[in-house]
Amino acid sequence: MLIYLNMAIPVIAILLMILFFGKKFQLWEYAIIFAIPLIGIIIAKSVSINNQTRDEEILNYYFVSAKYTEFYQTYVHQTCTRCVRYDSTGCVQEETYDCSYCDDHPPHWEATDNLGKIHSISENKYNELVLLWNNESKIELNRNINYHFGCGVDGDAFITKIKNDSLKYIVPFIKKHVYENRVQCSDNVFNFQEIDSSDKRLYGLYEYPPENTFNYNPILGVNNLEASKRLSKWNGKLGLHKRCHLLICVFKNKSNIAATKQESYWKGGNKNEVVLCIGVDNDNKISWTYVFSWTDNQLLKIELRDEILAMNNFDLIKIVDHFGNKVSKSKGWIKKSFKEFSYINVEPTHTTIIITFIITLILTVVLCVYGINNRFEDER
Amino acid sequence: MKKSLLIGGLSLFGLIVICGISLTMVFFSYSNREITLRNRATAQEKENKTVFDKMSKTILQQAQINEKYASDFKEVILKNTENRYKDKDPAMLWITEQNPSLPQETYLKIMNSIEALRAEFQQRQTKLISIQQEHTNLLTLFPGSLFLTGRKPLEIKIVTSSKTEAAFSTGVEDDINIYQK
Repeated sequence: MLIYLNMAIPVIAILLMILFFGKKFQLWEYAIIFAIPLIGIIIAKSVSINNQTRDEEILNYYFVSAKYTEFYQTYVHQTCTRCVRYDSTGCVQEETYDCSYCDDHPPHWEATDNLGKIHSISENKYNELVLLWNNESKIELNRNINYHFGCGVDGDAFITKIKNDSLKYIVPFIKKHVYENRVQCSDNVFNFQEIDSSDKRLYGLYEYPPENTFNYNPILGVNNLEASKRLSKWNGKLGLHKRCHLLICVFKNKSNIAATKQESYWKGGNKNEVVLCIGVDNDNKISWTYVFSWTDNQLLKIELRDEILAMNNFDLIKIVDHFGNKVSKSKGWIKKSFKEFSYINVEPTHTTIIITFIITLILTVVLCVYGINNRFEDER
Repeated sequence: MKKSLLIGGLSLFGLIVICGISLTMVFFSYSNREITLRNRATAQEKENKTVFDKMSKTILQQAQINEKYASDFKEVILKNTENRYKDKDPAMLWITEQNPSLPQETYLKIMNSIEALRAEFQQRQTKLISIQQEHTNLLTLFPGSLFLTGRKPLEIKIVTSSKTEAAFSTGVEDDINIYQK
């Protein structure tokens, strides 16, 4: 609300204009001096709040079928007209000519996800799916191809479908989704402590993994491609029904404070995330576990923490499967609705207020100078 | 001259009207927000009551079931042992058998329940505190403080223990031995 105090500038300016340059202004000019800064302030406020509350979560899906449509070519018979003689009025004589052409239709590959949406994919991705599902079949499209000298190639389509939703056949992919997170930018008790760079270095805290549509790595701290792929498959499988996103952070020879620092650094994580933090010692034994998530289901977090800790040996594939199974079987997993936090008030930043003040001041001065010097005073 | 005076007067009047309407709107906006937060806190307090009730009943009943299970288990073991050694040659009693032990899962389950329900209740209480914080901010920060003078601060009920209350009122916590009775 403080940002609206900037409106004092145009109000004072209008008063001054009435007092000293009353003759040079019309009513609509005063309205402009008032309205333009007001619009600017409203825009600045919404941009600032939107920037502060904007957050991104990762949504997970998997492909259920893929289709390859072959290249085809057909000769298109067509007659066109063109102008052959012009004069000052324009075209005076036209002629018709044969403008038939060979129409090329390039091949394309597409895949349908478990939501029913179609995505364009690369040839390599299609081949990967064919190899994995091993059930490609041909669809005869019965196209009407016109052959003409060297032009004319018939093309059909091929389709492959997922056999079942077991992890073996799942090809996951991710999509970004923007949502409003009022907690992250507020001074509310729900917010977390700020983590500085020294804490980040000391505890070896992680940034979010880079968003790669097909090669997203949900495991941080360990380079285990097989486990990463497996957890991505679990994410794909659980993504639609459970609406969750699983992540694992591994901390080697760090105290369990690292996990709480990680939670603070990620501001509790995104609303659909379950983050499993594991402390591992030099002997590859699990020394501690910590789970954080915005879910209201505390039991899931506690059981998961204890069960992973009880595994003792750091076997990442086993951990990934246990993690995925636990969340998939947990009836109580509920994605937190951040609309719950709509009561948290977010104000534009001080920088925004100062910049808006300067812009309002400049705008008001410009509008006043324009009002004084424009031609509309002469019309009166 | 008259026309320019008229335009000036009209502009001044318009400005006053716009400012008046804006201030009224701001007042109602603040007032409604304050009432919404107050209502939300009341609702949250009621929700906390039900969560607390659920928590204490679940823990109590799980503990009761556990206790009953343990006593039944003990009875079965005793009866079994009695029947097994009844009318047996005392010379053979040196043979020891491994008796079945009480499964730990039941205890683990109740431990997890206690922790989860406590955490859930803590989260609800945090939400109530968060609402109060928003309300206090609204009442005390400028320009809200200008429009909401005379409104009472929000009072909330937070469930703690007498031990916590005592520690916070005295600023001293001597009871640091975890095995002290």
